[in-house]
Amino acid sequence: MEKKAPKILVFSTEKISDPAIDLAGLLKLHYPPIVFTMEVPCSSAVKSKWILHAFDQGFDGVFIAADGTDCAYDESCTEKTGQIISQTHELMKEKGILPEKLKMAAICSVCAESFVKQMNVFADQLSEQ
Amino acid sequence: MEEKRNIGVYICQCGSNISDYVDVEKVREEVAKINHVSISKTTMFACADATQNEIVQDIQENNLDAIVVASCSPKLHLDTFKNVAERAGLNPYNYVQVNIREQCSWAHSDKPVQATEKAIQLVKAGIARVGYSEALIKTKISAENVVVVVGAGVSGMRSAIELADLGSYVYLIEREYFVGGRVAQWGELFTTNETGKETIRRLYTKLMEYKNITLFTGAEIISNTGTVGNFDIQVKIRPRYIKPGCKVDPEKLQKVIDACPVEIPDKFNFGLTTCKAIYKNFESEFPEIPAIDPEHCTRCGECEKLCDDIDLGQKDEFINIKAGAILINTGYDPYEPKTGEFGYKEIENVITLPQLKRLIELSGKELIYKNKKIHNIGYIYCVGSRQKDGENKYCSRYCCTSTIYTSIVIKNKYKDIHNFHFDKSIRTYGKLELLYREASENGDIFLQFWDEDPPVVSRNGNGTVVSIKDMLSSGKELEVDCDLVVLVTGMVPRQDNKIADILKAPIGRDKFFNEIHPKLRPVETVIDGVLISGACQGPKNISESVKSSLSAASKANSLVKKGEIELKPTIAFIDKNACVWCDECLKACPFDAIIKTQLEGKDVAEIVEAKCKGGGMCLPVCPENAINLKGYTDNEMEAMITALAD
Amino acid sequence: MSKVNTALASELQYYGAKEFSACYNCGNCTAICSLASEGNEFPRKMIRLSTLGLENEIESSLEPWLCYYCGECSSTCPRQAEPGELMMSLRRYLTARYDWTGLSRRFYTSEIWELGAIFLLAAFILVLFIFFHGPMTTELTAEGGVKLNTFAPWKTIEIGDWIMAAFLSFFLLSNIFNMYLKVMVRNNKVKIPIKLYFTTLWDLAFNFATQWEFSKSENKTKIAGKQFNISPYWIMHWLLMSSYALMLILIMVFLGWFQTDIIYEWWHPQRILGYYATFGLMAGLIYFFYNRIKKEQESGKHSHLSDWVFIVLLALTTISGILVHFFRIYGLPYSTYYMYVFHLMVLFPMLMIEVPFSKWSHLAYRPFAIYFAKVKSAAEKMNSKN
Repeated sequence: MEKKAPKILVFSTEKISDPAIDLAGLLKLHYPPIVFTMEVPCSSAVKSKWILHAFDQGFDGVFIAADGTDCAYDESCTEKTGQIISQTHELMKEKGILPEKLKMAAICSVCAESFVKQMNVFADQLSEQ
Repeated sequence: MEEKRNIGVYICQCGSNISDYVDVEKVREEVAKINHVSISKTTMFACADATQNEIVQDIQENNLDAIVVASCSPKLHLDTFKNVAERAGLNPYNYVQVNIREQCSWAHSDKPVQATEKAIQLVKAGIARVGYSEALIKTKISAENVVVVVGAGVSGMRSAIELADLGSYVYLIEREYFVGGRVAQWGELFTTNETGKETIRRLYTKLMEYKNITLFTGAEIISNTGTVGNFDIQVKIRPRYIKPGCKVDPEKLQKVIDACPVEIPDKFNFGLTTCKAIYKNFESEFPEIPAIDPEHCTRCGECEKLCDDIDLGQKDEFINIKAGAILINTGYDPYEPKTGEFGYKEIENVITLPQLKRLIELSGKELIYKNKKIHNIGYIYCVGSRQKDGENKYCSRYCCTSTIYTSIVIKNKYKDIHNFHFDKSIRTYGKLELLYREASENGDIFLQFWDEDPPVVSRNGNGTVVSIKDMLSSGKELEVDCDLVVLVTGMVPRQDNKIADILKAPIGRDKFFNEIHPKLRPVETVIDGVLISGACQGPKNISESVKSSLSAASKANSLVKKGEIELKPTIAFIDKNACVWCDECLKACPFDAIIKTQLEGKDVAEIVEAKCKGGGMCLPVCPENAINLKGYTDNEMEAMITALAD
Repeated sequence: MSKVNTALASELQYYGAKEFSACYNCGNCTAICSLASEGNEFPRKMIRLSTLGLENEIESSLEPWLCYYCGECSSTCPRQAEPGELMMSLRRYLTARYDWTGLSRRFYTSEIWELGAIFLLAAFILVLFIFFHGPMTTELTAEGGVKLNTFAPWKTIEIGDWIMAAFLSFFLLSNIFNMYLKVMVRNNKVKIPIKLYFTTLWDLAFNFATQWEFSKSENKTKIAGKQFNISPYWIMHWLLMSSYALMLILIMVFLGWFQTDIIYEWWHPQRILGYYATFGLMAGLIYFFYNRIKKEQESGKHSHLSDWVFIVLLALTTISGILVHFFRIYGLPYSTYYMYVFHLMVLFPMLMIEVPFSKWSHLAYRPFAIYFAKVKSAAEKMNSKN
């Protein structure tokens, strides 16, 4: 059976990481077209339920493009997003999903190159698995 | 919630920006197959007036209950198409924008076939989302045309005057007994050569002309219960212990001061001198009436014996203020070096830049410190700023210029003083570069150190030596004999920053107040109605502080002057039946927007709509999944995920 | 560990370096300088050493002598710190440091000393002539020329020449030896095998004779539309230098042949050589006067008193020399005698001050600096191979 390219779901944030992803497009920095972005107000608002739903529906990887320290809502954003990740990792374990399929990294509002790099690496890792 | 039955979809070519890489016709064909999509069109420019009118017409003629536009980033045209929907009588929240340009055609211009496939799925997800979208109505609340300005330093006073000119009523609240903040402490200031005192006197005189400004000194905000438009603030005013009608006679005041037995380090002079419990920092300080520091006063009554205007029986006063907006202007503290940091507090002739500036103010024709005439001054830059290992990674911006200006003042004022600058690279940006040049031409010597190799201050017999590995001479090890070592200390946030907790104003990485967007919304915080300006937001020099305070003033005024404020409707809501009140959401909310209430006898959480910022931190922490965010509900999000995964 | 010394910057002002403290270490001067190489940051290194007042390091540096004031650094400097002029001032400063008598420092830093010494030496010549001159005969030779050798017999003058030459050589050579000590012995970390001093001797001779480094300027000579790879500055400098050297040889070695009462035909070598030297001197002088007055080239923008003294004295010497020649040929005895005395009154102080203590000494220090630099770098290469 031919191996299908992995599908990645990205949660980006309205004010910080989504502008970076837009910038990557503007600069024509290419990343795999199987990356799909959904925007939320803040990375600490992503529910585990949504992430698990994505895996159920056939996504191979989920990436949270976090606000990091730039978050305008709360300085504990990174910590809170981290908690969501570890909480979801537990749930993924129960379902037998490898924890490497869920990743997060802070992407600042101009970090286009960093986003593209993250996507290329993540896609490579997922296709190896 | 009912799914939409009648959806219009528009796929934009964006000239050729999209259609060069994405087969828009194919996207349209695929999308048209979806149930409930009754209209699907491609368009050259969705944002063009003609297209906008066409969409309005389509909505009205076909009774569309939702629309999707697949075009550029929502950052550019979300509001454009929300307005289109509104013009057609459709609720703007029944509109979804799909980004197929920045995040599809441009990003994947190398793979047009896959880009088209991705576009199809993105548009399908948009349609899935709009299927569950809910018509939301912006709530409107009344607003007081009253602004509370916290802090009567240079930028607080300047913004108070501006607000008063714009027609708002202003309460100016100053924690100290005198106005002027840091600026009152400085002598000659760069570029204008006016002293800090004079600048403050001018502002104070102007301030007093306004009937719509009320100034409270010795006053602090102690609580707030309201929200934007209707902040309900309690202010505590400490007494001065001096009757308000007091006419100050300088000679008599001096006698009273002499009589006071309390002697404490004078914080106005950064501990270079001492002062009494009854004090006025300098003669032309405002308000003119002196004050007694309740913290150090022993109530011995010596002063009362000499002056009838003193009343040690005065009590704290509490007042309530209703305000539409609050402008935080609380300024900064100078960084206080640790004991032993470059010899601070261990070697006697090591002082800080603020201390040097006070020393110049207190000195006569010669610069004397601890009974020794000064000949060589060494300035060590970036103490408490640009730290490699410490907490303060940021540049304090004002210090290079301030030090260089001070060194020029010293050269002009005293003879035979040599200045040695030990810096990490000089940042006297813009016009201030001229000062750097002047200092060099004066013969000041600049030596530069590496982050990992800071200069060392040590005692050498009777003298003090600063040694450095000088970057500008290929790492040559050099020594300078200095009889005064000045630590150029940066700005740090106020030590006592209770106001941040009271107003829930967000603090950024560097512990200063944080704005929503550094470029586009530089003086607003995510707390609606709470604005920030001046150095409390991050290091600024005086002109930058005043610039930001003026912009915050106009922003505050434009918010409250209409008497009515619209709130963003994309806030959280709680399914009270599912809620079991575990208080996790309360803990997660940075804005205190959740309160406990009752539903049929059980404790449940409720969202305070005016306080909720729609950040969504409460969503993932709810063990019962009882919280949803409008516009980002489980239905909407999961429908999108399903559509994307397909 | 070296101590920073602010006194040097004030001292260097007297040598002409007034602007260099404006330097903010951008490095533009080094980037543009054709002499700069890695580890040899022309001219920024010298600016930095001057700012910091590291006298010992400056004293042992050869860099100022390797710089030929093309002026690129000064015109590129964003802060008008005049790095080229600092290098010029350092050459004056070094000249003073090499001079063990301390006179050079006095001449450079005090106008009273400089001008006082000139007048004193001129007065000395005048006094000698007042008391010891020969008969001032108005009788002319058969060809109608003045009998100059009766008034000032060349044999007597030659004795004076030799005494002066001994003085000059003694001071100049001892100063060069002092330079050698400072540069090659003290503050020197490289071990230098003696034989290197001999193998690189050719550089000394070549540069002594040609001062070739002056030719390496961005400013190229154009003649009839053709561009030559040498600077006009070098051409003029060489013209001046060779003329002056020729003149020096004529009066030191061949005085009896040169200072003759015979009037040769115009094509005779005695006259041709004299005219060539005079023409070279005049052309060079006009060029350098023009350069300092017009201030178009960087090297002419700043003039220290010592620069003016040098060209004025040289001009006076040249003009008076020409006049002596023509007064003699056209048989004007008194004019010849007075002009001859005046000629020596200018020539003598000029040589005594300029050659060992002031500007002209650079013609010796420069080739020696190149020579020492070659020796040093050859030694470094040898050491790194071992």
